[in-house]
Amino acid sequence: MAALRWTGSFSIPTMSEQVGIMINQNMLEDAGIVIPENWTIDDFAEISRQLTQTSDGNKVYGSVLYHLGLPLNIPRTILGADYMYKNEKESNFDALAFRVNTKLKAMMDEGIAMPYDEVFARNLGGNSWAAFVNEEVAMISFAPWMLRNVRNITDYPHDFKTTFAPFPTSEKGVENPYQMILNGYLSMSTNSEHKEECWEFMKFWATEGSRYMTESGGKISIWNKIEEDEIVAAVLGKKAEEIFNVQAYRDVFHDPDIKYYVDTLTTAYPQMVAIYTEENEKYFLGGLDEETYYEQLKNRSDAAIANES
Amino acid sequence: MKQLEKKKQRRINWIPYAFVAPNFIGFAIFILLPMLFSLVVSFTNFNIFKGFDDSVFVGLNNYIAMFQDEWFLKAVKNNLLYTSVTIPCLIGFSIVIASILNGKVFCGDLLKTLFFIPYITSVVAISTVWMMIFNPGQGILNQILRAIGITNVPGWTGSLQWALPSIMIVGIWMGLGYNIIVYMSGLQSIPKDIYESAQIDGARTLQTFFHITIPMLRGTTFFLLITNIITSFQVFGTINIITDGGPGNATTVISHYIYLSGFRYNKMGYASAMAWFLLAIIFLITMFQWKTQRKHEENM
Repeated sequence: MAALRWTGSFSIPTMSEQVGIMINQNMLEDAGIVIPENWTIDDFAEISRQLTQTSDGNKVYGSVLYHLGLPLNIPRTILGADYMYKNEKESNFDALAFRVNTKLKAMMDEGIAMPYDEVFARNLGGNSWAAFVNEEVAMISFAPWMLRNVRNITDYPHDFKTTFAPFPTSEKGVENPYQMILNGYLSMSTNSEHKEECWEFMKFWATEGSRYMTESGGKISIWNKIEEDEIVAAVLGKKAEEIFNVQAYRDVFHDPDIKYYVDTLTTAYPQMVAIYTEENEKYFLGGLDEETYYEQLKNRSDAAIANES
Repeated sequence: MKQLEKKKQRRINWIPYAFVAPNFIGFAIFILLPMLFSLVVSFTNFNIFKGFDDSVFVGLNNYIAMFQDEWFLKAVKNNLLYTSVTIPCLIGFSIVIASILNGKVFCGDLLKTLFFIPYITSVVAISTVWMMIFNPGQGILNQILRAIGITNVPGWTGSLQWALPSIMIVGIWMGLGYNIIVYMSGLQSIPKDIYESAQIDGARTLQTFFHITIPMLRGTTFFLLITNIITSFQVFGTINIITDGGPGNATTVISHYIYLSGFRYNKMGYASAMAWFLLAIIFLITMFQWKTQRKHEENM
């Protein structure tokens, strides 16, 4: 297990979090669509277009493109660790992978993905599972922890089946395996008076105890003694076959080719995220043209890094 | 006899202090001392994780850096915009509404209560509901606007141009109640014979309003101007919940940027410097108003 070092402290990860695309299977089948292998953002856009409809006066969007405050993070899945940094001194926003944002904007402008002003005003920028179970959107970006809500058909009743797909890539031939991070980091204080007990507990949490986190929270245990079947059952719940396409979940979330990334560069990291967020908002709301957007993204980020060093 | 009097004098001295002490101790511990602490911190590069041991004295660097920081400058601009729109609206609307409510109005008491309720309601509750009202797609405000025929409805909280006006609307709505109540008590202290003599002289309602009511309310207006300006520069709750400084930096204001710098970008020293700068601005504005009021009173 990779230990994490941050501002002079060490911690060990106990779980993994993977991202993927969650899809309303009924809507897919009604439109006769099959998700292609290794799909690209263009495939994604086309499918989103076909799934956008108005039924009984209710608008259904093909997709919501926001997750964790940023647009569909295809660049991250392609570039992996430290994706915003070219090196310690320079930001990476002139990389080709980031140009996928132009296509995302086109989708929102066309109305085949929920337009950003609505995402922002409804506070769906962090996660949009509420709109998903409400059948307002066909495809969203998600992480397994959201499934504890989707499988809860008492509080969030819905009668459609949910299926899964991996993140699309930018174009044919570009690999994007970095769809997972390690999480659930545990640290012990150097001032602790109970170091032995603390260590025992940390070991428990990372091994036997991780079962409980997986079941209640969808935080996937990374202990190698837990069987894949047990994890799938814990995340998808007791009514798995009714609510989910279990095989699709297995294919996406137990894909051995998925890699995890560990960021090591943190100079001006929160500022860069703030700059990326702001420029995205201005661009998606029509306040900036394409070239200015990419330029400002790069220049402002470079300035933020220079400021911190 | 003299000794007894002396003893009495010495004993009586500490009682007023004892009464003031509880409040002052609370003030000292929770407000005064942290304020002085933040003043010291503003001259260092302190952050929560470093603690005092690893912090370095940086002199005026934080204060100088503020004026080269695009986020800070944009925040100051947004604050000035916010204040310059909300204050006139608040003062203007509340004088008019208070004057109306002061007379005989059907369900006057009920109306006064309704106006005052926003002032005592939680900012979080207010912000959450207004967020839903302002929703550009499904919010009730745009539905009404579309129903009366407006096709190009504003994007409200989801728009770069309309986000700050949306926050202004919420701010004005929240502050009306308090201003109205204060104006009403101001109105009641205007002697009735002035109005009577004006009526005898043939003055119409609008003339009485502009030439008697408003001048006589000068003191109240002065008080409300100061308190409203101070509150408007500290606007935070509505912005944090409805727009979080966005979209872009349309609603970034000083207090919100202080919060981000201190707790998200981990630069407490810098945040403290900005907080003291905010204090200085508000202080200067208040002093300026005080002087102007003094002069005006002298001229009267």
